[in-house]
Amino acid sequence: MTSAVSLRLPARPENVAVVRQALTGLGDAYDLDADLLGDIKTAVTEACNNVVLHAYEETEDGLMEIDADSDGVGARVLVRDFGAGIQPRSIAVEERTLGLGLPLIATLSRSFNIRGRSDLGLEVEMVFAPRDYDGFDPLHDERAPRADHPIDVPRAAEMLIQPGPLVAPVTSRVTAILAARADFPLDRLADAVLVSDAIAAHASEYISGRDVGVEISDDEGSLNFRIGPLDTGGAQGLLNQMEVPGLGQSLERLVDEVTVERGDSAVATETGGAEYLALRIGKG
Amino acid sequence: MQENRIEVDRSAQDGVAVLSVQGEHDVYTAPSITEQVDALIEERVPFVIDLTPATFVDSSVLRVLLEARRRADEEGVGFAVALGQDDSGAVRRVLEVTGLIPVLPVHPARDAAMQAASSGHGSE
Repeated sequence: MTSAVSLRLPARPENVAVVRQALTGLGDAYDLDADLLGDIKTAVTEACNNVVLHAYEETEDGLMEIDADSDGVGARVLVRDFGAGIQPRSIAVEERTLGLGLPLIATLSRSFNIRGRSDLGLEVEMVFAPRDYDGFDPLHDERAPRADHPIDVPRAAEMLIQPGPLVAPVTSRVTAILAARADFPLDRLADAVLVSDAIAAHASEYISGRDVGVEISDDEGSLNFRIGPLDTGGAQGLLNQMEVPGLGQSLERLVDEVTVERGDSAVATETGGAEYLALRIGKG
Repeated sequence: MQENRIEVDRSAQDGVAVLSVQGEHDVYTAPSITEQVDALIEERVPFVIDLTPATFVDSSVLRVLLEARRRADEEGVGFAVALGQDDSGAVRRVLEVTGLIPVLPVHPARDAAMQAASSGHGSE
Protein backbone atom coordinates (compact mmCIF):
# COMPACT_ATOMS: atom_id res chain seq x y z
CA MET A 1 0.00 0.00 0.00
CA THR A 2 1.24 3.46 -0.81
CA SER A 3 0.12 5.64 2.06
CA ALA A 4 -0.83 9.28 1.69
CA VAL A 5 0.30 9.89 5.25
CA SER A 6 2.60 7.83 7.45
CA LEU A 7 3.18 8.71 11.09
CA ARG A 8 5.74 7.33 13.53
CA LEU A 9 5.32 8.24 17.19
CA PRO A 10 6.35 7.06 20.64
CA ALA A 11 3.51 4.85 21.94
CA ARG A 12 2.38 7.22 24.69
CA PRO A 13 -1.16 8.26 25.72
CA GLU A 14 -0.60 11.93 24.81
CA ASN A 15 0.23 11.00 21.22
CA VAL A 16 -3.15 9.44 20.38
CA ALA A 17 -4.57 12.98 20.01
CA VAL A 18 -1.72 13.79 17.58
CA VAL A 19 -2.86 10.87 15.41
CA ARG A 20 -6.43 12.23 15.45
CA GLN A 21 -5.23 15.65 14.36
CA ALA A 22 -3.29 14.14 11.44
CA LEU A 23 -6.45 12.24 10.43
CA THR A 24 -8.44 15.47 10.67
CA GLY A 25 -5.90 17.01 8.27
CA LEU A 26 -6.44 14.06 5.91
CA GLY A 27 -10.21 14.61 6.21
CA ASP A 28 -9.81 18.33 5.49
CA ALA A 29 -7.67 17.67 2.41
CA TYR A 30 -10.10 15.12 0.96
CA ASP A 31 -13.25 16.86 2.24
CA LEU A 32 -14.38 13.62 3.87
CA ASP A 33 -17.90 13.41 5.27
CA ALA A 34 -17.87 14.70 8.86
CA ASP A 35 -19.68 11.68 10.33
CA LEU A 36 -17.37 9.26 8.51
CA LEU A 37 -14.33 11.20 9.77
CA GLY A 38 -15.77 10.97 13.29
CA ASP A 39 -16.02 7.19 12.96
CA ILE A 40 -12.47 7.00 11.58
CA LYS A 41 -11.11 9.02 14.51
CA THR A 42 -12.97 6.90 17.07
CA ALA A 43 -11.92 3.54 15.62
CA VAL A 44 -8.30 4.60 15.05
CA THR A 45 -8.14 6.02 18.59
CA GLU A 46 -9.19 2.60 19.93
CA ALA A 47 -6.53 0.86 17.83
CA CYS A 48 -3.93 3.34 19.10
CA ASN A 49 -5.14 2.82 22.70
CA ASN A 50 -4.40 -0.86 22.20
CA VAL A 51 -0.83 0.00 21.24
CA VAL A 52 -0.37 2.51 24.06
CA LEU A 53 -1.85 0.27 26.78
CA HIS A 54 -0.96 -3.24 25.70
CA ALA A 55 1.85 -3.46 23.15
CA TYR A 56 4.82 -2.58 25.32
CA GLU A 57 5.95 -2.85 28.90
CA GLU A 58 5.32 0.35 30.88
CA THR A 59 9.03 1.03 31.16
CA GLU A 60 9.58 0.55 27.44
CA ASP A 61 9.31 3.43 24.93
CA GLY A 62 7.76 1.61 21.99
CA LEU A 63 6.93 2.66 18.45
CA MET A 64 3.43 3.34 17.12
CA GLU A 65 3.06 3.59 13.34
CA ILE A 66 0.03 4.79 11.41
CA ASP A 67 -0.49 4.64 7.63
CA ALA A 68 -3.52 6.44 6.25
CA ASP A 69 -4.93 6.85 2.78
CA SER A 70 -8.14 8.14 1.24
CA ASP A 71 -9.80 8.32 -2.17
CA GLY A 72 -11.98 11.25 -1.19
CA VAL A 73 -14.95 9.10 -0.20
CA GLY A 74 -13.54 6.34 1.96
CA ALA A 75 -10.32 5.86 3.88
CA ARG A 76 -7.99 3.11 4.93
CA VAL A 77 -5.91 3.29 8.10
CA LEU A 78 -3.35 0.86 9.44
CA VAL A 79 -2.11 1.02 13.03
CA ARG A 80 1.03 -0.98 13.73
CA ASP A 81 3.18 -1.76 16.76
CA PHE A 82 6.31 -3.81 17.28
CA GLY A 83 5.50 -5.11 20.72
CA ALA A 84 4.60 -8.41 22.23
CA GLY A 85 1.89 -9.28 19.72
CA ILE A 86 -1.26 -11.11 20.76
CA GLN A 87 -0.84 -12.18 24.35
CA PRO A 88 -3.22 -13.18 27.15
CA ARG A 89 -4.13 -10.05 29.11
CA SER A 90 -4.89 -9.44 32.70
CA ILE A 91 -8.26 -7.98 33.69
CA ALA A 92 -6.56 -5.04 35.42
CA VAL A 93 -5.07 -3.69 32.19
CA GLU A 94 -8.24 -4.27 30.19
CA GLU A 95 -10.24 -2.28 32.72
CA ARG A 96 -8.82 1.01 31.49
CA THR A 97 -10.89 0.89 28.29
CA LEU A 98 -13.69 -1.55 29.22
CA GLY A 99 -12.63 -3.86 26.40
CA LEU A 100 -14.75 -1.76 24.06
CA GLY A 101 -11.95 -1.02 21.60
CA LEU A 102 -12.38 -3.97 19.29
CA PRO A 103 -16.20 -3.85 19.24
CA LEU A 104 -16.00 -0.13 18.35
CA ILE A 105 -13.53 -0.85 15.55
CA ALA A 106 -15.79 -3.65 14.27
CA THR A 107 -18.90 -1.46 14.41
CA LEU A 108 -17.48 1.72 12.93
CA SER A 109 -15.30 0.30 10.14
CA ARG A 110 -16.52 -1.12 6.85
CA SER A 111 -14.03 -3.96 7.30
CA PHE A 112 -11.02 -4.59 9.47
CA ASN A 113 -8.20 -7.05 9.73
CA ILE A 114 -5.87 -7.85 12.62
CA ARG A 115 -2.55 -9.47 11.87
CA GLY A 116 0.17 -10.39 14.27
CA ARG A 117 2.50 -12.95 15.67
CA SER A 118 3.96 -13.27 19.10
CA ASP A 119 6.96 -10.92 19.51
CA LEU A 120 6.52 -9.39 16.05
CA GLY A 121 3.88 -6.87 16.94
CA LEU A 122 0.39 -6.31 15.69
CA GLU A 123 -1.24 -4.59 12.73
CA VAL A 124 -4.85 -3.43 12.75
CA GLU A 125 -6.03 -2.39 9.31
CA MET A 126 -9.38 -0.66 8.94
CA VAL A 127 -11.36 0.41 5.89
CA PHE A 128 -13.99 3.13 6.24
CA ALA A 129 -16.57 3.99 3.58
CA PRO A 130 -20.23 4.97 3.34
CA ARG A 131 -22.62 2.00 3.20
CA ASP A 132 -23.59 2.53 -0.43
CA TYR A 133 -20.07 3.08 -1.75
CA ASP A 134 -18.25 0.24 -3.47
CA GLY A 135 -15.44 2.18 -5.08
CA PHE A 136 -12.86 1.96 -2.34
CA ASP A 137 -10.32 -0.82 -2.64
CA PRO A 138 -10.79 -3.82 -0.39
CA LEU A 139 -8.13 -4.64 2.16
CA HIS A 140 -4.81 -5.36 0.50
CA ASP A 141 -3.07 -8.69 0.64
CA GLU A 142 -2.15 -9.99 4.02
CA ARG A 143 1.19 -8.76 5.18
CA ALA A 144 2.81 -9.89 8.37
CA PRO A 145 4.52 -7.32 10.59
CA ARG A 146 8.05 -6.89 9.36
CA ALA A 147 10.67 -8.30 11.67
CA ASP A 148 13.42 -6.45 9.78
CA HIS A 149 11.76 -3.05 10.15
CA PRO A 150 13.96 -0.50 11.88
CA ILE A 151 12.42 -0.08 15.32
CA ASP A 152 14.03 3.16 16.39
CA VAL A 153 11.53 5.24 18.32
CA PRO A 154 11.37 8.91 17.29
CA ARG A 155 11.37 11.64 19.93
CA ALA A 156 8.05 13.00 18.71
CA ALA A 157 5.95 13.03 15.54
CA GLU A 158 7.68 11.84 12.37
CA MET A 159 5.58 12.19 9.25
CA LEU A 160 5.94 11.17 5.63
CA ILE A 161 3.30 12.93 3.53
CA GLN A 162 2.50 12.58 -0.15
CA PRO A 163 3.49 15.84 -1.90
CA GLY A 164 0.52 18.02 -2.79
CA PRO A 165 -2.55 19.30 -0.99
CA LEU A 166 -2.20 16.93 1.98
CA VAL A 167 1.00 18.46 3.34
CA ALA A 168 -0.42 21.75 4.65
CA PRO A 169 -3.50 20.49 6.52
CA VAL A 170 -1.71 17.54 8.10
CA THR A 171 1.40 19.46 9.22
CA SER A 172 -0.58 22.47 10.47
CA ARG A 173 -2.94 20.29 12.55
CA VAL A 174 -0.03 18.37 14.09
CA THR A 175 1.90 21.62 14.65
CA ALA A 176 -1.07 23.21 16.42
CA ILE A 177 -1.65 20.34 18.85
CA LEU A 178 2.05 20.02 19.70
CA ALA A 179 2.32 23.80 20.23
CA ALA A 180 -0.77 23.72 22.46
CA ARG A 181 0.71 20.78 24.36
CA ALA A 182 3.91 22.80 24.90
CA ASP A 183 1.78 25.63 26.37
CA PHE A 184 2.48 28.07 23.54
CA PRO A 185 0.52 31.31 23.91
CA LEU A 186 -1.96 31.87 21.07
CA ASP A 187 0.22 34.32 19.13
CA ARG A 188 3.20 31.95 19.11
CA LEU A 189 0.94 29.02 18.25
CA ALA A 190 -0.26 31.05 15.26
CA ASP A 191 3.40 31.78 14.35
CA ALA A 192 4.19 28.06 14.48
CA VAL A 193 1.28 27.28 12.16
CA LEU A 194 2.47 30.03 9.76
CA VAL A 195 5.90 28.41 9.66
CA SER A 196 4.26 25.00 9.13
CA ASP A 197 2.25 26.42 6.20
CA ALA A 198 5.38 27.98 4.71
CA ILE A 199 7.16 24.61 4.93
CA ALA A 200 4.16 22.88 3.34
CA ALA A 201 4.01 25.37 0.48
CA HIS A 202 7.54 24.68 -0.75
CA ALA A 203 9.02 21.51 0.75
CA SER A 204 7.81 19.35 -2.15
CA GLU A 205 10.18 21.20 -4.50
CA TYR A 206 13.28 20.12 -2.57
CA ILE A 207 12.60 16.60 -1.27
CA SER A 208 15.01 13.90 -2.29
CA GLY A 209 12.59 11.02 -1.63
CA ARG A 210 9.05 10.31 -2.75
CA ASP A 211 7.34 11.96 0.22
CA VAL A 212 7.71 15.12 2.27
CA GLY A 213 9.38 14.18 5.55
CA VAL A 214 8.56 16.40 8.54
CA GLU A 215 9.49 15.71 12.13
CA ILE A 216 7.95 17.93 14.82
CA SER A 217 8.91 17.67 18.47
CA ASP A 218 7.97 19.70 21.52
CA ASP A 219 10.96 20.00 23.80
CA GLU A 220 11.51 22.34 26.73
CA GLY A 221 9.11 25.06 25.62
CA SER A 222 10.14 24.91 21.98
CA LEU A 223 8.73 23.38 18.85
CA ASN A 224 11.34 21.83 16.60
CA PHE A 225 10.75 21.18 12.91
CA ARG A 226 13.07 18.95 10.91
CA ILE A 227 12.31 18.78 7.19
CA GLY A 228 13.98 16.23 4.93
CA PRO A 229 15.73 14.41 3.49
CA LEU A 230 16.21 17.19 0.95
CA ASP A 231 18.27 17.41 -2.21
CA THR A 232 21.78 18.79 -1.83
CA GLY A 233 21.34 22.56 -1.46
CA GLY A 234 17.65 21.99 -0.80
CA ALA A 235 17.73 23.22 2.78
CA GLN A 236 18.96 26.67 1.74
CA GLY A 237 16.61 26.64 -1.24
CA LEU A 238 13.64 25.89 0.97
CA LEU A 239 14.74 28.51 3.45
CA ASN A 240 14.93 31.13 0.70
CA GLN A 241 11.43 30.24 -0.45
CA MET A 242 9.90 30.37 3.00
CA GLU A 243 8.62 33.90 2.95
CA VAL A 244 5.58 33.87 5.13
CA PRO A 245 2.66 35.01 2.96
CA GLY A 246 1.80 38.65 3.62
CA LEU A 247 4.73 39.19 5.95
CA GLY A 248 7.64 39.29 3.53
CA GLN A 249 11.07 38.18 4.71
CA SER A 250 9.95 37.67 8.27
CA LEU A 251 10.87 34.05 8.93
CA GLU A 252 13.76 35.23 11.09
CA ARG A 253 11.27 36.97 13.33
CA LEU A 254 9.14 33.85 13.72
CA VAL A 255 11.80 31.22 14.37
CA ASP A 256 14.51 31.30 17.01
CA GLU A 257 17.02 29.03 15.35
CA VAL A 258 17.72 27.77 11.84
CA THR A 259 20.13 24.91 11.19
CA VAL A 260 21.06 22.99 8.08
CA GLU A 261 21.91 19.41 9.00
CA ARG A 262 23.75 17.00 6.81
CA GLY A 263 23.13 13.48 7.96
CA ASP A 264 22.82 9.90 6.91
CA SER A 265 19.52 8.29 6.18
CA ALA A 266 18.51 5.24 4.24
CA VAL A 267 16.33 7.38 2.00
CA ALA A 268 19.03 9.98 1.52
CA THR A 269 21.59 7.39 0.55
CA GLU A 270 19.25 5.82 -1.98
CA THR A 271 18.33 9.09 -3.62
CA GLY A 272 21.46 11.18 -3.28
CA GLY A 273 19.96 13.72 -0.89
CA ALA A 274 21.46 14.22 2.53
CA GLU A 275 20.17 17.45 3.99
CA TYR A 276 17.66 18.45 6.61
CA LEU A 277 16.39 21.90 7.48
CA ALA A 278 15.89 22.28 11.23
CA LEU A 279 13.88 25.15 12.70
CA ARG A 280 13.29 25.89 16.38
CA ILE A 281 10.42 28.09 17.57
CA GLY A 282 10.34 29.10 21.22
CA LYS A 283 7.07 29.87 22.93
CA GLY A 284 8.30 33.44 23.48
CA MET B 1 -8.65 24.31 17.70
CA GLN B 2 -11.01 23.99 20.68
CA GLU B 3 -9.30 23.80 24.02
CA ASN B 4 -9.58 20.50 25.86
CA ARG B 5 -10.61 21.27 29.42
CA ILE B 6 -12.39 19.84 32.43
CA GLU B 7 -14.18 22.35 34.66
CA VAL B 8 -16.14 21.80 37.85
CA ASP B 9 -18.84 24.34 38.71
CA ARG B 10 -20.05 23.94 42.27
CA SER B 11 -22.15 27.10 42.28
CA ALA B 12 -25.06 25.67 40.32
CA GLN B 13 -28.58 25.14 41.65
CA ASP B 14 -29.63 22.78 44.47
CA GLY B 15 -26.06 21.99 45.47
CA VAL B 16 -25.48 19.94 42.33
CA ALA B 17 -21.99 20.28 40.86
CA VAL B 18 -21.44 20.23 37.10
CA LEU B 19 -18.31 18.59 35.73
CA SER B 20 -18.04 20.06 32.26
CA VAL B 21 -16.01 18.03 29.73
CA GLN B 22 -14.89 20.33 26.92
CA GLY B 23 -13.16 19.43 23.65
CA GLU B 24 -11.47 16.06 23.02
CA HIS B 25 -10.83 13.56 25.81
CA ASP B 26 -9.20 10.17 25.64
CA VAL B 27 -6.83 7.77 27.38
CA TYR B 28 -4.51 10.69 28.20
CA THR B 29 -7.05 12.93 29.92
CA ALA B 30 -9.47 10.30 31.34
CA PRO B 31 -7.46 10.04 34.61
CA SER B 32 -8.03 13.79 35.19
CA ILE B 33 -11.79 13.29 34.88
CA THR B 34 -11.56 10.37 37.32
CA GLU B 35 -9.76 12.60 39.84
CA GLN B 36 -12.58 15.16 39.73
CA VAL B 37 -15.24 12.45 39.99
CA ASP B 38 -13.49 10.85 42.97
CA ALA B 39 -13.30 14.20 44.77
CA LEU B 40 -17.02 14.89 44.29
CA ILE B 41 -18.03 11.42 45.46
CA GLU B 42 -15.75 11.62 48.50
CA GLU B 43 -17.36 14.95 49.41
CA ARG B 44 -20.79 13.41 48.73
CA VAL B 45 -21.71 16.20 46.30
CA PRO B 46 -24.38 15.22 43.76
CA PHE B 47 -23.05 15.91 40.28
CA VAL B 48 -23.67 15.97 36.55
CA ILE B 49 -21.05 15.09 33.97
CA ASP B 50 -21.91 17.46 31.12
CA LEU B 51 -20.68 16.16 27.76
CA THR B 52 -22.47 18.89 25.77
CA PRO B 53 -19.21 20.79 25.05
CA ALA B 54 -17.23 17.60 24.38
CA THR B 55 -16.27 16.99 20.75
CA PHE B 56 -14.68 13.56 21.18
CA VAL B 57 -14.54 10.85 23.83
CA ASP B 58 -13.03 7.38 23.59
CA SER B 59 -13.67 4.15 25.51
CA SER B 60 -11.39 5.30 28.35
CA VAL B 61 -13.84 8.13 29.03
CA LEU B 62 -16.82 5.74 28.73
CA ARG B 63 -15.20 3.65 31.42
CA VAL B 64 -14.89 6.73 33.65
CA LEU B 65 -18.62 7.44 33.14
CA LEU B 66 -19.62 3.88 34.06
CA GLU B 67 -17.29 3.83 37.03
CA ALA B 68 -18.74 7.17 38.19
CA ARG B 69 -22.24 5.72 37.97
CA ARG B 70 -21.23 2.59 39.91
CA ARG B 71 -19.50 4.51 42.68
CA ALA B 72 -22.25 7.12 42.94
CA ASP B 73 -24.79 4.30 43.31
CA GLU B 74 -22.71 2.62 45.99
CA GLU B 75 -22.21 5.83 47.94
CA GLY B 76 -25.75 7.11 47.44
CA VAL B 77 -24.57 10.25 45.67
CA GLY B 78 -26.79 11.76 42.95
CA PHE B 79 -25.31 11.39 39.47
CA ALA B 80 -26.43 12.00 35.90
CA VAL B 81 -24.94 12.62 32.46
CA ALA B 82 -25.99 15.44 30.10
CA LEU B 83 -25.31 15.15 26.38
CA GLY B 84 -27.05 18.16 24.85
CA GLN B 85 -29.90 18.38 22.38
CA ASP B 86 -27.84 17.86 19.22
CA ASP B 87 -28.80 14.58 17.55
CA SER B 88 -25.48 14.28 15.70
CA GLY B 89 -21.85 14.42 16.71
CA ALA B 90 -19.07 11.99 17.55
CA VAL B 91 -19.84 11.85 21.30
CA ARG B 92 -23.49 10.88 20.84
CA ARG B 93 -22.42 8.40 18.16
CA VAL B 94 -19.99 6.56 20.45
CA LEU B 95 -22.56 6.44 23.26
CA GLU B 96 -25.19 5.12 20.84
CA VAL B 97 -23.08 2.38 19.26
CA THR B 98 -21.92 1.15 22.67
CA GLY B 99 -25.52 1.13 23.95
CA LEU B 100 -24.65 3.25 26.98
CA ILE B 101 -27.32 5.97 26.62
CA PRO B 102 -29.99 4.08 28.60
CA VAL B 103 -27.41 2.49 30.91
CA LEU B 104 -25.85 5.66 32.32
CA PRO B 105 -28.55 7.12 31.77
CA VAL B 106 -28.04 10.16 29.57
CA HIS B 107 -30.28 13.26 29.67
CA PRO B 108 -30.45 15.54 26.66
CA ALA B 109 -30.63 18.77 28.70
CA ARG B 110 -28.30 19.84 31.49
CA ASP B 111 -31.23 21.10 33.59
CA ALA B 112 -32.96 17.72 33.44
CA ALA B 113 -29.70 15.99 34.36
CA MET B 114 -29.22 18.35 37.31
CA GLN B 115 -32.75 17.71 38.50
CA ALA B 116 -32.15 13.96 38.28
CA ALA B 117 -28.86 14.23 40.18
CA SER B 118 -30.46 16.47 42.79
CA SER B 119 -33.27 14.03 43.44
CA GLY B 120 -30.82 11.13 43.56
CA HIS B 121 -32.58 9.35 40.71
CA GLY B 122 -30.08 10.15 37.98
CA SER B 123 -28.69 6.66 37.66
CA GLU B 124 -31.63 4.52 38.48
